[in-house]
Amino acid sequence: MSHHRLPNYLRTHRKRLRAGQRHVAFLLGSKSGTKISRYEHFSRVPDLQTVFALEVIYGVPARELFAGMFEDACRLVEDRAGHAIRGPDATLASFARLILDPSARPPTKPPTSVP
Amino acid sequence: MKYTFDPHLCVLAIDPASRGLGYALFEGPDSLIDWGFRNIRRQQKDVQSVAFVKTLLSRYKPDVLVIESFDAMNHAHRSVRVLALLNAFASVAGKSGVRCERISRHAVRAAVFASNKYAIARKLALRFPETKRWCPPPRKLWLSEDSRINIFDALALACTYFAVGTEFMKSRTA
Repeated sequence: MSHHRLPNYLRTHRKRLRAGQRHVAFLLGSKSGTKISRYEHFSRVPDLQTVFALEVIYGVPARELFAGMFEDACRLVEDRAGHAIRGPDATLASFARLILDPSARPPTKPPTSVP
Repeated sequence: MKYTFDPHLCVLAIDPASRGLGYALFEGPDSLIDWGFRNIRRQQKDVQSVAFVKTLLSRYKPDVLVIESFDAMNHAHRSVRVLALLNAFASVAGKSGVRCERISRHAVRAAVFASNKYAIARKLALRFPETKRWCPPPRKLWLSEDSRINIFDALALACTYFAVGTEFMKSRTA
């Protein structure tokens, strides 16, 4: 049986916190809970700033809050990387291999803090 | 009943009542996603109830819809309207390509190990603490049934579906 994740789990996490839509709306700077309702009913996708604000409010990483969208994005990138590997562009193919096999990636230097 | 056990099976359980319907959505036996009670008290309650179930099915796209099984010949304590409504839900699920399963009250009591609705609600509120605030106090004789109990009836139906499915799979693998 094919399993699909819901586009987001905002309603679940809000209910777990026993909060109303208007409470979350206030923290997001909205006047009413209409926008929250639309996010929860999957009829509207929040912008990046709102996504981070929701992450702060619910204390759950964005990739878990928007699990279905995250899975879709992963699938799309993997599909494109697969096409790139089979394609004629050698540079693009080697980059796509790095995407599909994260263990082959070169180690990244941690960002240096500004004194 | 046909069981396909999947740890992430998406199950929607619905329990209609005279004043609306309770619902619970699970992704696997321990992951309660959504729950609530929809008040439907105006005219054309059946039409509104069916429309609401259609909305839930299209929004969540569950794998299975679980409703209560009844035996009309055995004097089920349900109104004719609710019995017809359950059949309407099954037909809506069929049209949406969602498998519909019916679970009897007897099976629920056996799976949850509780004798009445309120004992079942208390047990489920302990298992899913996020639903605790919806758990109604035991009904007094002179009071009508609290509508919040339908949420727990729906929860119990879904939990029973998972419990029976798990036992079925265990017996197959043993």
